[in-house]
Amino acid sequence: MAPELDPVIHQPTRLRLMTVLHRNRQASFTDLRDGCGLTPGNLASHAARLEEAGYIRSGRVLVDLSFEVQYRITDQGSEAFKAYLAALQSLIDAARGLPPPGPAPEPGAVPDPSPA
Amino acid sequence: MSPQELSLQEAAATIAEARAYEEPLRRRTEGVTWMLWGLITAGVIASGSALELLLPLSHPVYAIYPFLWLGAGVLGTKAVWSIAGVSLPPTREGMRRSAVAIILAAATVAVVWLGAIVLVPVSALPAFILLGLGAPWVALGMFNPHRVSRSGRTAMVASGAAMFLAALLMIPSLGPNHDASFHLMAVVGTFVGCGAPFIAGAVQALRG
Repeated sequence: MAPELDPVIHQPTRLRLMTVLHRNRQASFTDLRDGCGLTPGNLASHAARLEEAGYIRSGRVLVDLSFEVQYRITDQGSEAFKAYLAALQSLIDAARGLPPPGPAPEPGAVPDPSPA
Repeated sequence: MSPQELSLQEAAATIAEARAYEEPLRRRTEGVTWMLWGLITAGVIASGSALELLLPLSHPVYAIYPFLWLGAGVLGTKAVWSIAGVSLPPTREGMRRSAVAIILAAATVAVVWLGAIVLVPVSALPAFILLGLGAPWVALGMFNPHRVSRSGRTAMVASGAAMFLAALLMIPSLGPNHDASFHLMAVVGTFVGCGAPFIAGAVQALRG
């Protein structure tokens, strides 16, 4: 059965946000807005959707004498993103006609000739 | 755009494009680098003070041992940036910036030391060692050859200024007892020299 892509992540803006946060672990509102090329409203609404799913959490930190919103990926979000990447890789491999990734066969093992 | 409109190829391209954005990671790595160099500064001062118990200040080992610490700092910096997966600046540009930083640091140390030798009595030498260590920090922060962030520059200038201030505060307490003055400098220099870049770096590393 083909793996399903998480619909919360599989959206251009949210995918970009999750990628940046997975790579950087945390980022400020300004960094995400500039780094992902988003408007403040767009960023806030998609971040809220990810926060509802428990994939990121937000907080306010003091930066240069003013408070700034900071987003941090959660453990749940990190796992969800890794699962998304694995599912995406499987789908791309399937589209190319490659076998799905699985455990490596034991050295010397005889392949099972029976149909799956 | 609905989820269905994002093809597999577009999703892969989006991930590849967004992965290239690593500014917050770069800033946090820079913070860890300052923490490391704070510890290196403390190590130079503390081990110099320990050597002074064994060897006279005229011994050539004093000209060599700081390079062991510098080497450790350079290796540690390279390791931290490799672990973070952030590429260092292109080799030629990086070498140019490092050369400017070394010349700047060496020039400020030379100016302070020449001033110390010509103008200052021996009893004030420990304070001038602190000034000699603080001057390059201030110069690097002011001229910023590596184009570090504002927090990084603040850390450098604050560190150097703290050493300057500690040196000035020490001068009245310096007397004919050279050993006591030298050890006072070592204690103050170890904590002040390490503290400013370490704390500023930690804030930047944890806050991003």
